[in-house]
Amino acid sequence: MHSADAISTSGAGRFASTDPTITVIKPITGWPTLGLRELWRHRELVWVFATRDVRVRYKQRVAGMGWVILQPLLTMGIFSVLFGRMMKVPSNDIPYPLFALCGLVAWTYFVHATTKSTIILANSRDLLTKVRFPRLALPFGTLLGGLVDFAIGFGLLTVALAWYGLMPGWNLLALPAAVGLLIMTTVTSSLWLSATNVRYRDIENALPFFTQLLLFLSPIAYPATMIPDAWRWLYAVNPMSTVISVFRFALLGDDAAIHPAWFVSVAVAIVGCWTGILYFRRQEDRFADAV
Amino acid sequence: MPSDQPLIEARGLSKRYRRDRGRIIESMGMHHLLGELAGMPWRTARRMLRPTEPARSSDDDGTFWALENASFDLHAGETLGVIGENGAGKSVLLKILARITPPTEGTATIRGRVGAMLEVSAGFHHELTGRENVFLSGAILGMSQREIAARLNRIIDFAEISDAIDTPVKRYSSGMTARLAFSVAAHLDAEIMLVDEVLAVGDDAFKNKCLDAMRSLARSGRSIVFVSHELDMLERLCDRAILIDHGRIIADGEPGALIGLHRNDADAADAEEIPA
Repeated sequence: MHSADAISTSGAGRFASTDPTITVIKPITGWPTLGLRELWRHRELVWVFATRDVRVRYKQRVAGMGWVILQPLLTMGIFSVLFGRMMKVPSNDIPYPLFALCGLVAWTYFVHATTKSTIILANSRDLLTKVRFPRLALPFGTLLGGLVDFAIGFGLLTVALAWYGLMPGWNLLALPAAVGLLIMTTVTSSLWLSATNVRYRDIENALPFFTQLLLFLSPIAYPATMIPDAWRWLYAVNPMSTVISVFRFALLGDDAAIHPAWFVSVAVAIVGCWTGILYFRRQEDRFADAV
Repeated sequence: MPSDQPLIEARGLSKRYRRDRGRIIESMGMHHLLGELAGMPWRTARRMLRPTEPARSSDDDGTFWALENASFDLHAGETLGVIGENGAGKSVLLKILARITPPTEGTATIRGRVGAMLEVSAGFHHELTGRENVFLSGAILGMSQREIAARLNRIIDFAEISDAIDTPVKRYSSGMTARLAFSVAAHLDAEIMLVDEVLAVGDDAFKNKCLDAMRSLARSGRSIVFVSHELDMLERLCDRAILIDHGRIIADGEPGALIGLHRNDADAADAEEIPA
């Protein structure tokens, strides 16, 4: 049968020259490493998971990209009428719709990526129980895939900036810091929640409630300057509060919200990322038995 | 290349599960979750206080040993069949060797890359086309995108699916999906293949084709650990077998003899109990 030959991927000789990798399998002891080197070796897999999410999303949805644009746009409209027009919420001399949209684009990425990665492990039972691969690739793939929607939202924001004739100045240099802090915050929530949700499915049920609370605790509909100075430190424990203020600073030149409490957010995000990866890695050996 | 050393050296591999929920005993409760980061000193102290040898027949604490003290060697080019009843511990053994779940006790030294075919279609997404799934599934199994691209034609040919390769997998028959999934996994470049029941899919012609493929893999120097309930197929493929019963390896030897032993056991058990 021709098939027998078809399967041989390489000659037997190739194995003689390949350095065999030695793996020792043993019970779990102590704390794991961050495993970032293994993840980097499998960066293609992260990419493959990301493109899978994006492909599936755009195949299933007729509206596709339209929906991604419509969501922040509708929210912006409602916020503008309710908070901007009726309640006269200040927006630090920036047109309120622009002010709200800037916060919403960053917020939408955070909520969507967190929500999707929270359920990704629990929904990948077959993979976790049948295939060995670096587990971190699943939430990181989701975070990466979500950046497509974020980029579309960002494009929308650029159009809105042009519409209002606003050109960002030198403070655009702060944009990478804003995006970096946004991603770190999302990594933190995604890793902690996804690893916990494998065992405690309550997490995914409770999540919408907590993201809603966090929406009010972030300066999306209102500026951070409305928070009394003494409370800004506590307010900054939620890193998203600073992410949004830094975004407004970078894109809209809104420097009124600059505050030393921003460092609290940065510290929370760094520690959260680091402990999140450790916690995830500590849990991942148990995923196959717990999911 | 230390060709005299075994590719797999399993020493006392054991796995304990909780009877009620099927979770491992080390599983954490909510209190543990909260104390996870702070609870290190407490856990270390408890580990030191714990008796060194946990009780073996542990019906009292609601746990059981799914695999107990499994030791064996697998040498290059060997094809090892694993025989046993449902729940005897065959799949647990493969999952430990595939590093899907850690052992509770014992070690295994693996020399070489491991390709695990425990459920070949696990990585498939039904909304994506066959071609997209080849790249997805291959990546999850550990192949680089370049390797997959280089083998794409062979993978498609082997699966006999070239007409439907750009159709979403949700339109495939289960046989087609299984063929494509097997074909991807079979093109893994690994010294050690762990195969669990994947040949139980598809029609007889494809089964034979898979069997031939596995034989050719073995001939090209790979070692195979093969779990199947289809004992005839196992006997045709394997040159050695181990028999697992209630988590323990009770025999190691020539497949034909072990299959005979296993069948006698099963018949005896059937005579005593109502068959499942």
